[in-house]
Amino acid sequence: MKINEAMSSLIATFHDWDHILVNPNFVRKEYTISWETFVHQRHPDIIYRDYISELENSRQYSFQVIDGSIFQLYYDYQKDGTNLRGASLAFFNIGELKGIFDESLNDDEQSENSKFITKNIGDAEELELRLTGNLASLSFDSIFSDMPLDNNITNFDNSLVPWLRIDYAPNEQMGPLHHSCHMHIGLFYHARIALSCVPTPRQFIEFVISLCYPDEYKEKRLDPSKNFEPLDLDSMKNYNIPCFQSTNGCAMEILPYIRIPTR
Amino acid sequence: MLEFTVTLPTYDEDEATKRVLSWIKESFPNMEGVGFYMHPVLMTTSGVTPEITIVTKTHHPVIVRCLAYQLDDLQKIESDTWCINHEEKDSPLLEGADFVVNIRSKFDKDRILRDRLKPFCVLALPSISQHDFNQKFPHSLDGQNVIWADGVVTPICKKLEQPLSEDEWRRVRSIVQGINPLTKGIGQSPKVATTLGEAIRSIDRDIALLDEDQVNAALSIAPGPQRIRGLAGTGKTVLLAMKAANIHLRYPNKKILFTFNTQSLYNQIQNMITKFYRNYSDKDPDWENLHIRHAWGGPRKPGVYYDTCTRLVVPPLRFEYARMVNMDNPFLSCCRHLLSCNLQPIYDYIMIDEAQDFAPEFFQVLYKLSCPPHNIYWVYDELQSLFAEKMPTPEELFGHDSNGKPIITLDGVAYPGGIEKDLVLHKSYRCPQDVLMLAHAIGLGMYSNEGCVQMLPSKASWEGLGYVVESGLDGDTFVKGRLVTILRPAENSPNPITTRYQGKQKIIQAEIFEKREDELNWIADSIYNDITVEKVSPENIVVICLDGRKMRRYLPPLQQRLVERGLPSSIPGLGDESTAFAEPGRVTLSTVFRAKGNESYIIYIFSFEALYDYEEALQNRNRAFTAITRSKAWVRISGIGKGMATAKDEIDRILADQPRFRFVFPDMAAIRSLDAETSRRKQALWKARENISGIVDLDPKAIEALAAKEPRLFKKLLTLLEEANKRENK
Repeated sequence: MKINEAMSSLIATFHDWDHILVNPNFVRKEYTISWETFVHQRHPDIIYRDYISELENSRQYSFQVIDGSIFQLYYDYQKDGTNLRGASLAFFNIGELKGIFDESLNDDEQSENSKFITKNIGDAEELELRLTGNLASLSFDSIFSDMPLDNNITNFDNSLVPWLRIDYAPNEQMGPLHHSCHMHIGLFYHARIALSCVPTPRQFIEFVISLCYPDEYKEKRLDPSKNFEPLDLDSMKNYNIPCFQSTNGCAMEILPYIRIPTR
Repeated sequence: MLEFTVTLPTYDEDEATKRVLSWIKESFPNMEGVGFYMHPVLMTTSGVTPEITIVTKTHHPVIVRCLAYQLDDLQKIESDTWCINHEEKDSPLLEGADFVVNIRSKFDKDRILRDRLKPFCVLALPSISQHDFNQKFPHSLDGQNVIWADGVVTPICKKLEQPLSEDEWRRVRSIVQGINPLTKGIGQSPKVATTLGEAIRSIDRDIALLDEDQVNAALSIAPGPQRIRGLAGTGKTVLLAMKAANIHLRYPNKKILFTFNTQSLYNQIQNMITKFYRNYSDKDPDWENLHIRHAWGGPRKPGVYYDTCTRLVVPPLRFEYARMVNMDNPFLSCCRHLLSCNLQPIYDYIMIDEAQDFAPEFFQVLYKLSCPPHNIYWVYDELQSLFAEKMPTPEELFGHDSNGKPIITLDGVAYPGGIEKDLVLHKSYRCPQDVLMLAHAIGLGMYSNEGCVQMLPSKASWEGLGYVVESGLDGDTFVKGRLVTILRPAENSPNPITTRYQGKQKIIQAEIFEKREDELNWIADSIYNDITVEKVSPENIVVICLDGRKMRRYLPPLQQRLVERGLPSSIPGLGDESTAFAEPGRVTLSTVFRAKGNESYIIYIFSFEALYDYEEALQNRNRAFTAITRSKAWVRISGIGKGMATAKDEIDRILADQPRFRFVFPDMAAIRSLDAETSRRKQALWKARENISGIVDLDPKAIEALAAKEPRLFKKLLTLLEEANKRENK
């Protein structure tokens, strides 16, 4: 896949999903696809909300989801604009646990302070439901004294952020545990799941949306009247044209790996 | 007349200065200018401040160093030191020279004023006669400007060859007030514009200037609690930031807290304080002593609650638990948590912005965190008095001591030096008159077919907002059912847009559309026109979605339309509330809540039909009020369907009556019951949703059976549904 094709794939996919994707910030500069004000950054293994806020405030993203989650798509090409030197495709999920268009959660006036303190309102609501019956009889102090200390203190504004990232670094390949193209998943510190090839922008975005926003994916791509089979399988298969070249290595011969569809 | 501002309460005890000032006022009763006792920021490196600073249109600026000494107090006068009461001190003449250099450098930074003014210093020894002094220290003050005990104050007069022009005079006042860092332009601005962009640039270049109320609010340092009240756009946050910077400059070692509720204000406040501080200092403020803190805080950003817990080594409550205790106001739980702890005073000065957003418990916490004499200054948006029956009194906010005595009261005479305990800012600068009146009328629902939803209950409360009640009163009170006429005098909304812009665009525009797509297309086209034809910078345009619950549905397609037209835009604060608002080069798309505390020249408000939402009518009127008052110039309102048609009719009737409101005074008892009505509607809607969902999920055969078995009930249901559908589509 050439760099102009990758850029076209990115633009087309963004437009396909622009009812949930916002704040486009991606850009092509010479032989790199990244974002405006791109800064090379090595992400920490454990990511908290404050880190994502920094990314958001400094516009270190290709685009956002309307719930505030962040996509970073970085492709670095050789000077021929054809062969990929490296890539990093990341998604940081700070969305609500409920549906993206859940209106009760989107009332920012109601959730203003809750956003500041925590995103895990869903948990709180559950907990509340469990306690509602007893709540009236509990004094303020007793509620808190009953809670384990570590539940009471700190991190209330700095919840963990689920994330995933696909890296392509052919020069850093080291045996089956460090394949040239692999996926990291938040909190699985040393896990590198091998991938058969680097996903195109289309493949990566569709993958994340299907994984993290299944309701949106269903609505746009699947047919509820046919047991949620693809609405148009042929054209969806065509999303995999063009694609990147397959990666080589022993990982795929001895360990399970993720296959990226190619046509 | 000389507008003289006392910035410190020491004035009452400063007999020497009072005497000199009275001589000046007697000798020059017609002096037109501004003066300061203890100019807030002019000082020597050792912290000495001149007692009197006077600038006028006709004379060079003068600084008077007033010394209360008797002749016996002085032992030796040398060029660089004076021996006063057997102690070597810097020569007051050198201190005076420092002041002169300091203020002159400010004037010279302004291209228009450069070399125009020659400030000078006068020494005042009002308790010593010239004759006695010269006998004791012959020739030591020869050639100096001195005011002696004879009360001759002519040394303060050095006439300008040409009096200052109006523009120069504005610049001079702006500089001595210390508000000049907010002036954006250099040089003079064009006074008439025919495109929106030109008009905006012209207003942007206006010289920032404080009015008399604002000077008192920003520059005086009250020796105790002080409340500052004002509408949106009266400059409350700016004044408080300026006050914080000035206090920090004057007392760098004192601990100061600046706290607020809207997180997105953090950077704005920090930038403003830094700007004001650096106007007089070559360093940044010492953030160790000047704390800017959100009320809550957390590990990510410090805040009053979180910091205090950390200091006390007390585990802060998690939000979830705070919310369990108090669903509506979780922060109240945090404040009560703190009040149950042993709080120790640490702050010498506390400033509270957006005070109307906080519960009394927060004030009580802050009281405990403040050192005597409890210099707590809180700014209160009069908006609150629009939407609440009455503003809480200081007694209600701070509570009572164990003897039932109010902890804080603003009753009684002013502080020494005439420093006010309760200041009202009457002039609203942000919004043009039409826009502000529209916001008030919509917020209160005075022209709504469904009647008022809120009301200012007294003549005094209307006057506090800058209105004049012309008719409809019975004595000083309103009477239910009587026609009321209320005028807003133009001088209380001195926004210059209507005189500066002479093009064809209306200040307020309202549009009705059939479908949301049409509405969004119109907004995108209109913004395209603003930017490409009217030459408006994108950052001067903000689009606000009135229906906060639908913003995730409506903002992405709007952004998509802007992208299609090649217009960069940003939806700030999706993940982090403190994300920058109005980024350069981008149109801002926002919710009402996110727009709070921000302003823009052009405000688009869409989905305005939500004003007539069955469930959220009251809240949406408040939101509409906030959205409209973000505008510094143009407001474009749009919506769809019959809701917007009704809204447009309401807007047209409001505009037709301006600059007056004419309405029938409502029944306040009915208004007070509106909260209950809102709850009833919420419940009714919830019930309807539940029941209809139940019907939808039923086995179709069961419904058929019902039609057969209960034909009357079935028909009634069908009729109800059909009628609702017809009304909705009408």
